[in-house]
Amino acid sequence: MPLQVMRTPRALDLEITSRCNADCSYCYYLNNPDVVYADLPTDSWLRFFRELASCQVMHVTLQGGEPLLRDDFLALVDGIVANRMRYSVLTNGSLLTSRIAGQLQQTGRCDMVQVSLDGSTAEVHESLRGGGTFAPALSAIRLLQDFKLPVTVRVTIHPGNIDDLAEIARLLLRDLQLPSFSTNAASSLGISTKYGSGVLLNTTERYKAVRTMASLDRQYPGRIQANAGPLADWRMFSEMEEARRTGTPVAGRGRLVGCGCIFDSFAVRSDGAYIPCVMLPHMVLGRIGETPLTEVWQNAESLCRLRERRGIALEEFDECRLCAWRSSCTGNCPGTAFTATGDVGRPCPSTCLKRFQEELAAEGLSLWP
Amino acid sequence: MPDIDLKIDMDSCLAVNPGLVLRIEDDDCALLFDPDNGKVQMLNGTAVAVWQLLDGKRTLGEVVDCLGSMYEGVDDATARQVLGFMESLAKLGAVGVWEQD
Repeated sequence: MPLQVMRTPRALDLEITSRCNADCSYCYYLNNPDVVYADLPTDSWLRFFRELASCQVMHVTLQGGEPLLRDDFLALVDGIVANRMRYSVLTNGSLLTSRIAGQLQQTGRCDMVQVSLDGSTAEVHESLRGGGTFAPALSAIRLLQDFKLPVTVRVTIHPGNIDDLAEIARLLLRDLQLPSFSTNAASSLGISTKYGSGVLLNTTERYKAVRTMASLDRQYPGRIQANAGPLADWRMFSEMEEARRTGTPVAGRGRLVGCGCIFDSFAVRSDGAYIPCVMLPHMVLGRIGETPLTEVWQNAESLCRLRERRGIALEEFDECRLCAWRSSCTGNCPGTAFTATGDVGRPCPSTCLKRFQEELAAEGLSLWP
Repeated sequence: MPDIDLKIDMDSCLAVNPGLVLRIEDDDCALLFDPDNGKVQMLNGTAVAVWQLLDGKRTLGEVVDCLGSMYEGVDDATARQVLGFMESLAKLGAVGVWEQD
């Protein structure tokens, strides 16, 4: 029976520029052979926004690169508003001005501005993001608060900030009084592959990050979000272990169900290529202005195949067959699975609980007593 | 701006708020999205049919008549339900009497 998919996506991630004024060592986007570094002109985006309106898309997330590098950024925001959508912005904060914040506030349509901040001090934050980036990020957060815009922060966890995580949480949640922030971790995409061990967590570091984030999660209940990285892993692993211990598998798992994004959203690269998500930039589904969005959304072959991966049982994979957590596992993100294995139709080994526990055991560690 | 205290009866000619977005998800479900506040309401298939008939020219009585040609079992109770539905939407600013440009 074919999968039921909504007629059009509810939301899109739009990489409105491939340019960036930072040079972060773990960027998944820079130095990625699958990304085409070209920007569409204003008119192309504005035409596309009209198409989004005709498809009743409700929300877009503007990202890059650094989206505020576009001179026409506010014109694009106006185009989004004129076409009856809401929006969010992902930024490093360095180019945010009172004028921009004021304009965003005036639209009344901004759901979130996310600023990247990886440390409670310039030394920690700038260790992988480069000199002179901490103060502007902090200023941007305060400016957004002054304009009463919904601001959040994304903390990328890496070997250099694990010992600072408690201080980062204190800065963001107590000192700056943000309602919440989110975390992830660098993955082997883009330029981070070049720096390898300097930016990616090894087993011991990952263990420490998981324990620390679990502790902070208890200290600040409901205020730390995570869709990937140590905290997301901890939550998923805890659920899987509880299911194994009680003999009650989590419903709907045991198959490659790790990604729900492609059922209500997808993404557009800066050069206008439709892609399933920003983690799969090589998987071009069509181009804006050439193929109607509805056609791509409903019929693009590789997108349909990606959705159908939910039907693949984990017992089909040798590495999963004897796993005690298999029936409660989702197989995790197809983007990271592709990075690790070259195949979106496989479970992701880098977020595998069984493998992590085996690596920990080799170090004399365990997630649970 | 719509008049949220608008008195509505079967002779009212209501139109939908053009700033709202109707997303038809499938035959039985649609979302009514207000981009100004991000609120979303779910509508069933009949509610969508009513919504699509609100053109500012038909009276609600005529809307109910149209429903009668589309569905079986449309009666006085349906008319009361449509009236109640319109009153709730009017309070939200989703329908109203809009001035002609």
